[in-house]
Amino acid sequence: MYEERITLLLTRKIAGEATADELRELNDLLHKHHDAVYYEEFLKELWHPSADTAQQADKINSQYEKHIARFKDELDFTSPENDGLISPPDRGSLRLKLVLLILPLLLVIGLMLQKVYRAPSNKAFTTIMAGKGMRKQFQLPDGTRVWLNSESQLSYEGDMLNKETRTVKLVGEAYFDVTHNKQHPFIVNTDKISIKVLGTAFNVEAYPNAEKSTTTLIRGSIELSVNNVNYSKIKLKPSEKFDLIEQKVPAKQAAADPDPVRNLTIRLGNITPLQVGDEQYTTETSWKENRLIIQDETFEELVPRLEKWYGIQIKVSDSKVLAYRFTGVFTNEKLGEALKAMQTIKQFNFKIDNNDVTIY
Amino acid sequence: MTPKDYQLNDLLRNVAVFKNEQDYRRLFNALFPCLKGFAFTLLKSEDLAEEVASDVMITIWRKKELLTEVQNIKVYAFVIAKNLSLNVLKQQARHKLISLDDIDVNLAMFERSPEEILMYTELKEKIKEVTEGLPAKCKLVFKLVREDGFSYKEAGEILNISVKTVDAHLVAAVRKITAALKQEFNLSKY
Repeated sequence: MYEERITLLLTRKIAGEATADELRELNDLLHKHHDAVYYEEFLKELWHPSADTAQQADKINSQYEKHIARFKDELDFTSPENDGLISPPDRGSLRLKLVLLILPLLLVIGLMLQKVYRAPSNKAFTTIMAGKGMRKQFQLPDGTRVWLNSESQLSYEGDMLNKETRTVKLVGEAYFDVTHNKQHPFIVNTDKISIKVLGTAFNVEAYPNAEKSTTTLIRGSIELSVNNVNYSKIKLKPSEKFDLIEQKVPAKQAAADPDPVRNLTIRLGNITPLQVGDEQYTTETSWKENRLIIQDETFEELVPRLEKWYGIQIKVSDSKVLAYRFTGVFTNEKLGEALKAMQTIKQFNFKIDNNDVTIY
Repeated sequence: MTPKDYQLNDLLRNVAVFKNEQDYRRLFNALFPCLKGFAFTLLKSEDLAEEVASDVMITIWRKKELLTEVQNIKVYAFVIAKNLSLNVLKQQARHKLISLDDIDVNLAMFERSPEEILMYTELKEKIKEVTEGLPAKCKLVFKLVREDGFSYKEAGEILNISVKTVDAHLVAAVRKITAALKQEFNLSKY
Protein backbone atom coordinates (compact mmCIF):
# COMPACT_ATOMS: atom_id res chain seq x y z
CA MET A 1 0.00 0.00 0.00
CA TYR A 2 3.04 2.28 -0.10
CA GLU A 3 1.82 3.75 -3.38
CA GLU A 4 -1.24 5.24 -1.77
CA ARG A 5 0.82 6.56 1.08
CA ILE A 6 3.30 8.13 -1.32
CA THR A 7 0.51 9.81 -3.26
CA LEU A 8 -0.95 11.20 -0.07
CA LEU A 9 2.36 12.52 1.20
CA LEU A 10 3.35 13.92 -2.17
CA THR A 11 0.04 15.73 -2.46
CA ARG A 12 0.51 17.32 0.92
CA LYS A 13 4.10 18.19 0.10
CA ILE A 14 3.24 19.93 -3.14
CA ALA A 15 0.32 21.73 -1.54
CA GLY A 16 2.80 22.96 1.08
CA GLU A 17 0.93 21.25 3.89
CA ALA A 18 3.24 18.38 4.81
CA THR A 19 4.73 18.30 8.31
CA ALA A 20 8.45 17.71 8.89
CA ASP A 21 7.71 14.14 9.94
CA GLU A 22 5.71 13.52 6.82
CA LEU A 23 8.47 14.91 4.63
CA ARG A 24 10.96 12.59 6.31
CA GLU A 25 8.64 9.63 5.83
CA LEU A 26 8.20 10.56 2.17
CA ASN A 27 11.94 10.73 1.64
CA ASP A 28 12.37 7.29 3.17
CA LEU A 29 9.62 5.85 1.02
CA LEU A 30 10.98 7.37 -2.18
CA HIS A 31 14.40 6.06 -1.25
CA LYS A 32 13.06 2.54 -0.86
CA HIS A 33 10.96 2.62 -3.99
CA HIS A 34 12.95 4.17 -6.77
CA ASP A 35 10.23 3.73 -9.35
CA ALA A 36 7.98 6.07 -7.34
CA VAL A 37 10.06 9.04 -8.48
CA TYR A 38 7.79 8.99 -11.49
CA TYR A 39 4.96 10.15 -9.31
CA GLU A 40 6.86 13.09 -7.97
CA GLU A 41 7.83 14.25 -11.43
CA PHE A 42 4.28 13.88 -12.60
CA LEU A 43 2.84 15.75 -9.66
CA LYS A 44 5.28 18.61 -10.12
CA GLU A 45 4.14 18.74 -13.70
CA LEU A 46 0.51 18.77 -12.64
CA TRP A 47 1.20 21.66 -10.28
CA HIS A 48 3.04 23.78 -12.80
CA PRO A 49 1.37 27.20 -12.62
CA SER A 50 0.04 28.55 -15.88
CA ALA A 51 2.45 30.95 -17.54
CA ASP A 52 1.78 34.68 -17.72
CA THR A 53 1.76 35.64 -21.34
CA ALA A 54 1.64 39.03 -23.00
CA GLN A 55 -1.78 38.06 -24.26
CA GLN A 56 -3.02 37.76 -20.71
CA ALA A 57 -1.61 41.19 -19.90
CA ASP A 58 -3.55 42.62 -22.83
CA LYS A 59 -6.64 40.88 -21.62
CA ILE A 60 -6.35 42.26 -18.10
CA ASN A 61 -6.01 45.78 -19.47
CA SER A 62 -9.24 45.58 -21.40
CA GLN A 63 -10.95 43.86 -18.48
CA TYR A 64 -9.83 46.68 -16.22
CA GLU A 65 -11.11 49.32 -18.61
CA LYS A 66 -14.43 47.53 -18.81
CA HIS A 67 -14.61 47.35 -15.04
CA ILE A 68 -13.80 51.06 -14.66
CA ALA A 69 -16.38 52.01 -17.27
CA ARG A 70 -19.00 49.91 -15.49
CA PHE A 71 -18.43 51.53 -12.10
CA LYS A 72 -17.00 54.92 -13.04
CA ASP A 73 -19.47 56.76 -10.79
CA GLU A 74 -18.30 54.92 -7.71
CA LEU A 75 -14.57 54.74 -8.28
CA ASP A 76 -13.69 58.21 -7.08
CA PHE A 77 -9.92 57.93 -7.02
CA THR A 78 -7.78 60.75 -5.77
CA SER A 79 -5.53 62.13 -8.48
CA PRO A 80 -1.94 60.83 -8.48
CA GLU A 81 -0.39 64.15 -7.44
CA ASN A 82 -2.26 63.92 -4.19
CA ASP A 83 -0.95 60.48 -3.34
CA GLY A 84 -0.48 60.17 0.33
CA LEU A 85 -3.30 62.51 0.99
CA ILE A 86 -6.54 62.00 2.74
CA SER A 87 -9.61 64.02 2.09
CA PRO A 88 -10.40 66.29 4.99
CA PRO A 89 -12.66 64.75 7.58
CA ASP A 90 -15.26 67.49 7.39
CA ARG A 91 -15.95 66.63 3.80
CA GLY A 92 -15.58 62.89 4.31
CA SER A 93 -18.25 60.40 5.12
CA LEU A 94 -18.66 58.55 8.37
CA ARG A 95 -16.98 55.58 6.74
CA LEU A 96 -13.92 57.63 5.99
CA LYS A 97 -13.81 58.93 9.52
CA LEU A 98 -14.00 55.36 10.72
CA VAL A 99 -11.06 54.37 8.62
CA LEU A 100 -9.11 57.42 9.67
CA LEU A 101 -9.56 56.22 13.20
CA ILE A 102 -8.99 52.54 12.58
CA LEU A 103 -6.06 52.60 10.20
CA PRO A 104 -3.52 54.57 12.20
CA LEU A 105 -4.60 52.60 15.23
CA LEU A 106 -3.87 49.35 13.45
CA LEU A 107 -0.60 50.78 12.25
CA VAL A 108 0.33 51.90 15.72
CA ILE A 109 -0.73 48.60 17.27
CA GLY A 110 1.31 46.85 14.62
CA LEU A 111 4.30 49.01 15.37
CA MET A 112 3.89 48.48 19.08
CA LEU A 113 3.54 44.72 18.70
CA GLN A 114 6.60 44.67 16.51
CA LYS A 115 8.51 46.52 19.16
CA VAL A 116 7.18 44.35 21.95
CA TYR A 117 8.51 41.34 20.11
CA ARG A 118 11.83 42.93 19.43
CA ALA A 119 12.63 44.52 22.73
CA PRO A 120 11.11 44.35 26.18
CA SER A 121 10.88 48.12 26.53
CA ASN A 122 9.16 50.47 24.14
CA LYS A 123 11.39 53.52 24.41
CA ALA A 124 12.21 53.98 20.76
CA PHE A 125 11.11 57.10 18.93
CA THR A 126 8.89 56.71 15.97
CA THR A 127 9.41 59.30 13.27
CA ILE A 128 6.86 59.97 10.58
CA MET A 129 7.93 61.94 7.57
CA ALA A 130 6.07 63.59 4.74
CA GLY A 131 8.26 63.96 1.67
CA LYS A 132 8.24 66.65 -0.96
CA GLY A 133 4.77 67.44 -2.17
CA MET A 134 3.27 64.89 0.26
CA ARG A 135 0.84 65.53 3.06
CA LYS A 136 0.09 62.85 5.60
CA GLN A 137 -2.58 62.21 8.19
CA PHE A 138 -2.14 59.78 11.06
CA GLN A 139 -2.97 59.15 14.68
CA LEU A 140 -0.67 59.03 17.69
CA PRO A 141 -0.92 56.29 20.34
CA ASP A 142 -3.02 58.59 22.56
CA GLY A 143 -5.59 59.18 19.83
CA THR A 144 -4.32 62.62 18.82
CA ARG A 145 -4.75 63.22 15.12
CA VAL A 146 -1.96 64.80 13.17
CA TRP A 147 -1.86 66.23 9.68
CA LEU A 148 1.72 66.56 8.53
CA ASN A 149 2.53 68.99 5.75
CA SER A 150 5.07 68.57 2.98
CA GLU A 151 8.75 68.18 3.95
CA SER A 152 7.95 67.84 7.62
CA GLN A 153 8.59 65.21 10.23
CA LEU A 154 7.18 64.35 13.61
CA SER A 155 8.78 62.11 16.24
CA TYR A 156 7.03 60.59 19.22
CA GLU A 157 7.67 57.93 21.79
CA GLY A 158 5.78 54.69 21.43
CA ASP A 159 5.00 54.62 25.15
CA MET A 160 4.00 58.28 25.39
CA LEU A 161 0.93 57.36 27.41
CA ASN A 162 3.08 56.01 30.23
CA LYS A 163 4.94 59.31 30.54
CA GLU A 164 3.99 62.36 32.55
CA THR A 165 3.74 64.40 29.41
CA ARG A 166 2.99 63.38 25.89
CA THR A 167 5.91 64.95 24.07
CA VAL A 168 6.39 65.14 20.33
CA LYS A 169 9.07 66.84 18.28
CA LEU A 170 8.12 68.65 15.11
CA VAL A 171 10.24 69.81 12.21
CA GLY A 172 8.16 71.64 9.62
CA GLU A 173 4.41 72.13 9.70
CA ALA A 174 1.63 70.14 11.29
CA TYR A 175 -1.96 70.48 12.39
CA PHE A 176 -2.83 68.79 15.69
CA ASP A 177 -6.20 67.69 16.98
CA VAL A 178 -5.20 66.66 20.48
CA THR A 179 -7.08 64.08 22.52
CA HIS A 180 -8.09 65.60 25.84
CA ASN A 181 -6.12 64.18 28.79
CA LYS A 182 -5.53 66.47 31.74
CA GLN A 183 -3.16 64.09 33.50
CA HIS A 184 -0.81 63.98 30.54
CA PRO A 185 -0.33 67.39 28.92
CA PHE A 186 0.56 67.29 25.26
CA ILE A 187 3.75 69.15 24.38
CA VAL A 188 5.03 70.06 20.95
CA ASN A 189 8.68 70.93 20.74
CA THR A 190 10.11 72.66 17.73
CA ASP A 191 13.44 74.29 17.07
CA LYS A 192 12.26 77.65 18.30
CA ILE A 193 9.12 77.29 20.33
CA SER A 194 7.39 74.85 22.64
CA ILE A 195 3.66 74.50 22.99
CA LYS A 196 1.77 72.97 25.88
CA VAL A 197 -1.72 71.74 25.27
CA LEU A 198 -4.54 70.29 27.28
CA GLY A 199 -6.84 69.26 24.48
CA THR A 200 -7.25 71.34 21.42
CA ALA A 201 -6.74 71.80 17.72
CA PHE A 202 -3.98 73.96 16.39
CA ASN A 203 -1.51 74.41 13.59
CA VAL A 204 2.25 74.81 13.94
CA GLU A 205 4.48 75.99 11.14
CA ALA A 206 8.14 75.76 12.07
CA TYR A 207 10.31 74.99 9.07
CA PRO A 208 13.96 75.06 10.11
CA ASN A 209 15.15 77.27 7.24
CA ALA A 210 12.35 79.82 7.51
CA GLU A 211 12.57 83.02 9.52
CA LYS A 212 9.00 82.86 10.70
CA SER A 213 7.33 80.26 12.94
CA THR A 214 3.57 80.48 13.17
CA THR A 215 1.22 78.85 15.63
CA THR A 216 -2.49 79.08 14.94
CA LEU A 217 -5.09 77.99 17.45
CA ILE A 218 -8.40 76.71 16.12
CA ARG A 219 -10.11 75.69 19.36
CA GLY A 220 -9.24 74.99 23.00
CA SER A 221 -6.28 76.72 24.59
CA ILE A 222 -2.54 76.41 24.40
CA GLU A 223 0.39 77.78 26.30
CA LEU A 224 3.36 78.76 24.28
CA SER A 225 6.97 79.51 25.15
CA VAL A 226 9.91 80.53 23.04
CA ASN A 227 12.86 78.20 23.52
CA ASN A 228 15.79 79.60 25.54
CA VAL A 229 13.95 82.82 26.26
CA ASN A 230 12.62 83.62 29.69
CA TYR A 231 9.38 85.15 28.56
CA SER A 232 6.40 84.58 30.67
CA LYS A 233 4.35 82.01 28.89
CA ILE A 234 1.96 83.23 26.28
CA LYS A 235 -1.59 81.93 26.22
CA LEU A 236 -3.48 81.75 22.97
CA LYS A 237 -7.23 81.93 22.67
CA PRO A 238 -9.17 80.33 19.83
CA SER A 239 -8.68 81.94 16.44
CA GLU A 240 -5.52 83.71 17.58
CA LYS A 241 -2.23 83.23 15.94
CA PHE A 242 1.31 83.67 17.11
CA ASP A 243 4.22 84.56 14.84
CA LEU A 244 7.81 84.32 15.90
CA ILE A 245 10.14 86.07 13.53
CA GLU A 246 13.80 85.44 13.96
CA GLN A 247 16.26 87.55 12.02
CA LYS A 248 19.66 86.05 11.58
CA VAL A 249 22.41 88.12 13.13
CA PRO A 250 25.03 88.90 10.45
CA ALA A 251 27.74 86.26 10.36
CA LYS A 252 30.54 88.64 11.34
CA GLN A 253 28.82 89.64 14.51
CA ALA A 254 27.81 86.08 15.27
CA ALA A 255 31.39 84.84 15.01
CA ALA A 256 32.53 87.43 17.53
CA ASP A 257 29.88 86.49 20.01
CA PRO A 258 29.87 82.85 21.13
CA ASP A 259 26.29 83.18 22.36
CA PRO A 260 24.73 85.37 19.70
CA VAL A 261 21.69 87.41 20.52
CA ARG A 262 18.76 86.46 18.41
CA ASN A 263 16.65 89.23 16.98
CA LEU A 264 13.25 87.96 17.87
CA THR A 265 9.96 89.57 17.00
CA ILE A 266 6.74 88.26 18.39
CA ARG A 267 3.47 89.11 16.77
CA LEU A 268 0.05 88.18 18.05
CA GLY A 269 -2.83 88.38 15.66
CA ASN A 270 -6.19 87.03 14.74
CA ILE A 271 -7.06 84.58 12.05
CA THR A 272 -9.01 86.42 9.44
CA PRO A 273 -11.06 84.10 7.34
CA LEU A 274 -10.45 84.59 3.66
CA GLN A 275 -13.41 85.07 1.37
CA VAL A 276 -12.94 83.66 -2.09
CA GLY A 277 -16.08 83.48 -4.16
CA ASP A 278 -18.86 82.13 -1.98
CA GLU A 279 -16.60 80.25 0.42
CA GLN A 280 -14.67 81.23 3.50
CA TYR A 281 -11.29 79.69 4.15
CA THR A 282 -8.85 79.66 7.00
CA THR A 283 -5.57 80.22 5.23
CA GLU A 284 -3.41 78.82 7.99
CA THR A 285 -4.97 75.37 8.05
CA SER A 286 -6.32 74.95 4.56
CA TRP A 287 -3.33 72.82 3.55
CA LYS A 288 -4.63 69.97 5.63
CA GLU A 289 -7.80 70.01 3.59
CA ASN A 290 -5.65 69.83 0.54
CA ARG A 291 -6.37 73.41 -0.46
CA LEU A 292 -3.77 75.83 -1.59
CA ILE A 293 -5.05 79.31 -0.90
CA ILE A 294 -3.58 82.29 -2.65
CA GLN A 295 -4.53 85.70 -1.37
CA ASP A 296 -3.37 88.61 -3.48
CA GLU A 297 0.15 87.27 -3.70
CA THR A 298 2.84 88.01 -6.23
CA PHE A 299 4.26 85.18 -8.28
CA GLU A 300 7.53 85.77 -6.48
CA GLU A 301 5.84 85.03 -3.16
CA LEU A 302 4.10 82.05 -4.69
CA VAL A 303 7.20 80.29 -6.02
CA PRO A 304 8.33 78.79 -2.67
CA ARG A 305 4.77 77.84 -1.78
CA LEU A 306 4.14 76.12 -5.08
CA GLU A 307 7.51 74.38 -4.81
CA LYS A 308 6.60 73.00 -1.40
CA TRP A 309 3.05 72.13 -2.36
CA TYR A 310 3.91 70.14 -5.46
CA GLY A 311 7.44 69.07 -4.51
CA ILE A 312 8.95 70.79 -7.54
CA GLN A 313 11.61 73.33 -8.56
CA ILE A 314 10.49 76.50 -10.30
CA LYS A 315 12.69 78.65 -12.47
CA VAL A 316 11.35 81.96 -13.68
CA SER A 317 13.19 83.36 -16.65
CA ASP A 318 10.84 86.30 -17.28
CA SER A 319 11.15 88.72 -14.37
CA LYS A 320 7.93 90.46 -15.46
CA VAL A 321 6.02 87.38 -14.32
CA LEU A 322 7.35 87.67 -10.78
CA ALA A 323 5.32 90.83 -10.19
CA TYR A 324 1.99 89.35 -11.30
CA ARG A 325 -0.52 89.11 -8.49
CA PHE A 326 -2.92 86.20 -7.97
CA THR A 327 -5.86 85.31 -5.74
CA GLY A 328 -7.47 81.90 -5.81
CA VAL A 329 -8.01 78.49 -4.29
CA PHE A 330 -6.69 75.20 -5.60
CA THR A 331 -8.30 71.99 -4.43
CA ASN A 332 -6.81 68.75 -5.75
CA GLU A 333 -5.63 70.48 -8.91
CA LYS A 334 -2.61 68.97 -10.55
CA LEU A 335 0.35 71.24 -11.22
CA GLY A 336 -0.46 71.59 -14.91
CA GLU A 337 -4.09 72.41 -14.20
CA ALA A 338 -3.12 74.99 -11.61
CA LEU A 339 -0.68 76.74 -13.94
CA LYS A 340 -3.21 76.68 -16.77
CA ALA A 341 -5.78 78.28 -14.49
CA MET A 342 -3.25 80.99 -13.63
CA GLN A 343 -2.56 81.56 -17.33
CA THR A 344 -6.18 82.59 -17.76
CA ILE A 345 -5.53 85.47 -15.36
CA LYS A 346 -2.11 86.63 -16.52
CA GLN A 347 -0.12 85.98 -19.67
CA PHE A 348 2.86 83.62 -19.27
CA ASN A 349 4.19 80.34 -20.60
CA PHE A 350 5.37 77.28 -18.72
CA LYS A 351 7.14 74.03 -19.36
CA ILE A 352 7.00 71.04 -16.97
CA ASP A 353 9.87 68.59 -17.13
CA ASN A 354 9.41 66.03 -14.33
CA ASN A 355 10.02 68.05 -11.19
CA ASP A 356 11.46 71.07 -12.94
CA VAL A 357 9.19 73.86 -14.05
CA THR A 358 10.27 76.75 -16.20
CA ILE A 359 8.19 79.90 -16.41
CA TYR A 360 8.89 82.18 -19.34
CA MET B 1 -0.73 33.34 4.02
CA THR B 2 2.04 33.66 1.47
CA PRO B 3 4.21 36.79 1.22
CA LYS B 4 2.19 37.66 -1.88
CA ASP B 5 -1.01 37.65 0.16
CA TYR B 6 0.55 40.05 2.65
CA GLN B 7 1.33 42.34 -0.27
CA LEU B 8 -2.32 42.16 -1.31
CA ASN B 9 -3.40 43.22 2.16
CA ASP B 10 -0.91 46.10 2.01
CA LEU B 11 -2.30 47.15 -1.35
CA LEU B 12 -5.81 47.09 0.05
CA ARG B 13 -4.72 49.24 2.98
CA ASN B 14 -3.23 51.75 0.54
CA VAL B 15 -6.43 51.77 -1.48
CA ALA B 16 -8.43 52.43 1.69
CA VAL B 17 -6.20 55.24 2.89
CA PHE B 18 -5.16 56.97 -0.29
CA LYS B 19 -8.02 55.95 -2.60
CA ASN B 20 -5.55 56.05 -5.45
CA GLU B 21 -6.11 54.30 -8.72
CA GLN B 22 -2.58 52.95 -9.01
CA ASP B 23 -2.92 50.64 -6.03
CA TYR B 24 -6.48 49.69 -6.90
CA ARG B 25 -5.31 48.69 -10.32
CA ARG B 26 -2.52 46.56 -8.88
CA LEU B 27 -5.04 44.87 -6.64
CA PHE B 28 -7.27 44.34 -9.66
CA ASN B 29 -4.45 42.81 -11.71
CA ALA B 30 -3.55 40.46 -8.88
CA LEU B 31 -7.06 39.29 -8.06
CA PHE B 32 -9.21 39.57 -11.17
CA PRO B 33 -7.77 36.69 -13.25
CA CYS B 34 -7.97 34.12 -10.46
CA LEU B 35 -11.41 35.35 -9.38
CA LYS B 36 -12.63 35.03 -12.93
CA GLY B 37 -11.09 31.57 -13.19
CA PHE B 38 -12.78 30.49 -9.99
CA ALA B 39 -16.15 31.91 -11.04
CA PHE B 40 -15.75 30.20 -14.41
CA THR B 41 -15.41 26.78 -12.81
CA LEU B 42 -18.80 27.34 -11.20
CA LEU B 43 -20.63 29.22 -13.95
CA LYS B 44 -19.09 27.80 -17.11
CA SER B 45 -19.59 31.10 -18.89
CA GLU B 46 -16.80 33.54 -19.68
CA ASP B 47 -19.13 36.54 -19.63
CA LEU B 48 -20.83 35.66 -16.37
CA ALA B 49 -17.49 34.84 -14.74
CA GLU B 50 -16.09 38.19 -15.80
CA GLU B 51 -19.12 39.97 -14.43
CA VAL B 52 -18.82 38.19 -11.10
CA ALA B 53 -15.10 38.99 -10.85
CA SER B 54 -15.87 42.62 -11.66
CA ASP B 55 -18.61 42.65 -9.01
CA VAL B 56 -16.17 41.24 -6.46
CA MET B 57 -13.70 44.03 -7.24
CA ILE B 58 -16.30 46.79 -6.80
CA THR B 59 -17.46 45.15 -3.57
CA ILE B 60 -13.89 45.41 -2.33
CA TRP B 61 -13.84 49.07 -3.33
CA ARG B 62 -17.14 49.77 -1.58
CA LYS B 63 -16.03 48.09 1.61
CA LYS B 64 -12.37 49.02 1.47
CA GLU B 65 -12.30 50.74 4.84
CA LEU B 66 -13.86 47.81 6.66
CA LEU B 67 -11.88 45.21 4.75
CA THR B 68 -8.60 46.45 6.15
CA GLU B 69 -9.51 44.36 9.15
CA VAL B 70 -9.84 41.18 7.10
CA GLN B 71 -6.93 38.85 7.65
CA ASN B 72 -6.52 37.63 4.11
CA ILE B 73 -8.15 39.63 1.36
CA LYS B 74 -7.65 36.93 -1.25
CA VAL B 75 -9.61 34.38 0.76
CA TYR B 76 -12.28 37.00 1.39
CA ALA B 77 -12.48 37.84 -2.31
CA PHE B 78 -12.95 34.18 -3.20
CA VAL B 79 -15.74 33.83 -0.65
CA ILE B 80 -17.55 36.78 -2.26
CA ALA B 81 -16.92 35.26 -5.69
CA LYS B 82 -18.41 31.97 -4.51
CA ASN B 83 -21.50 33.64 -3.06
CA LEU B 84 -22.08 35.83 -6.10
CA SER B 85 -21.65 32.83 -8.41
CA LEU B 86 -24.13 30.79 -6.41
CA ASN B 87 -26.56 33.72 -6.63
CA VAL B 88 -26.25 33.75 -10.40
CA LEU B 89 -26.86 30.01 -10.53
CA LYS B 90 -29.81 30.37 -8.22
CA GLN B 91 -31.37 32.95 -10.50
CA GLN B 92 -30.75 30.77 -13.51
CA ALA B 93 -32.19 27.67 -11.92
CA ARG B 94 -34.94 29.49 -10.06
CA HIS B 95 -34.31 27.02 -7.31
CA LYS B 96 -34.39 28.21 -3.77
CA LEU B 97 -31.18 26.56 -2.74
CA ILE B 98 -28.09 25.69 -4.60
CA SER B 99 -25.21 23.89 -3.00
CA LEU B 100 -21.74 23.34 -4.31
CA ASP B 101 -22.57 19.63 -4.51
CA ASP B 102 -25.27 20.22 -7.11
CA ILE B 103 -23.18 21.89 -9.73
CA ASP B 104 -20.84 20.74 -12.42
CA VAL B 105 -17.47 22.29 -12.14
CA ASN B 106 -15.27 23.20 -15.04
CA LEU B 107 -11.53 23.37 -14.78
CA ALA B 108 -9.58 25.63 -17.05
CA MET B 109 -6.21 23.99 -17.00
CA PHE B 110 -2.85 24.19 -18.63
CA GLU B 111 -2.65 27.53 -20.29
CA ARG B 112 0.76 27.00 -21.74
CA SER B 113 3.01 27.94 -24.61
CA PRO B 114 2.39 26.13 -27.94
CA GLU B 115 5.47 23.92 -27.57
CA GLU B 116 4.43 22.84 -24.15
CA ILE B 117 0.94 22.18 -25.35
CA LEU B 118 2.27 19.94 -28.13
CA MET B 119 4.46 18.05 -25.73
CA TYR B 120 1.80 17.59 -23.16
CA THR B 121 -1.31 17.30 -25.26
CA GLU B 122 -1.75 13.63 -24.59
CA LEU B 123 -1.09 14.00 -20.90
CA LYS B 124 -3.25 17.07 -20.73
CA GLU B 125 -6.17 15.43 -22.48
CA LYS B 126 -6.02 12.54 -20.09
CA ILE B 127 -5.78 14.75 -17.02
CA LYS B 128 -8.66 16.84 -18.23
CA GLU B 129 -10.75 13.79 -18.83
CA VAL B 130 -10.03 12.43 -15.36
CA THR B 131 -10.45 15.70 -13.49
CA GLU B 132 -13.74 16.40 -15.22
CA GLY B 133 -14.94 13.11 -13.83
CA LEU B 134 -14.14 14.11 -10.24
CA PRO B 135 -16.96 15.09 -7.85
CA ALA B 136 -17.68 18.84 -7.75
CA LYS B 137 -16.14 19.68 -4.38
CA CYS B 138 -13.14 17.49 -5.10
CA LYS B 139 -12.60 19.46 -8.30
CA LEU B 140 -12.97 22.81 -6.54
CA VAL B 141 -10.48 21.91 -3.85
CA PHE B 142 -8.08 20.72 -6.52
CA LYS B 143 -8.41 24.05 -8.31
CA LEU B 144 -8.12 26.28 -5.25
CA VAL B 145 -5.03 24.55 -3.92
CA ARG B 146 -3.34 23.78 -7.22
CA GLU B 147 -4.16 26.81 -9.34
CA ASP B 148 -4.71 29.57 -6.82
CA GLY B 149 -2.12 28.46 -4.28
CA PHE B 150 -4.44 28.48 -1.25
CA SER B 151 -3.52 26.57 1.87
CA TYR B 152 -5.78 23.78 3.12
CA LYS B 153 -7.10 26.12 5.79
CA GLU B 154 -7.91 28.89 3.32
CA ALA B 155 -9.53 26.54 0.80
CA GLY B 156 -11.59 25.16 3.69
CA GLU B 157 -12.71 28.66 4.65
CA ILE B 158 -13.74 29.47 1.11
CA LEU B 159 -15.73 26.27 0.59
CA ASN B 160 -16.93 26.07 4.16
CA ILE B 161 -15.42 22.63 4.84
CA SER B 162 -12.84 21.38 7.33
CA VAL B 163 -9.11 21.14 6.69
CA LYS B 164 -9.35 17.36 6.92
CA THR B 165 -11.98 17.31 4.22
CA VAL B 166 -9.82 19.52 2.01
CA ASP B 167 -6.92 17.12 2.46
CA ALA B 168 -9.13 14.12 1.72
CA HIS B 169 -10.59 15.73 -1.43
CA LEU B 170 -7.20 16.70 -2.72
CA VAL B 171 -5.59 13.33 -2.07
CA ALA B 172 -8.57 11.63 -3.69
CA ALA B 173 -8.24 13.88 -6.75
CA VAL B 174 -4.53 13.25 -7.12
CA ARG B 175 -4.98 9.55 -6.55
CA LYS B 176 -7.62 9.27 -9.26
CA ILE B 177 -5.55 11.24 -11.71
CA THR B 178 -2.38 9.28 -11.07
CA ALA B 179 -4.22 5.96 -11.24
CA ALA B 180 -5.74 6.89 -14.58
CA LEU B 181 -2.40 8.00 -15.93
CA LYS B 182 -0.72 4.86 -14.75
CA GLN B 183 -3.17 2.88 -16.78
CA GLU B 184 -2.98 5.14 -19.78
CA PHE B 185 0.76 5.23 -20.03
CA ASN B 186 1.30 1.63 -19.10
CA LEU B 187 3.29 2.19 -15.99
CA SER B 188 2.06 -1.24 -14.99
CA LYS B 189 5.16 -2.03 -13.03
CA TYR B 190 4.24 0.84 -10.83
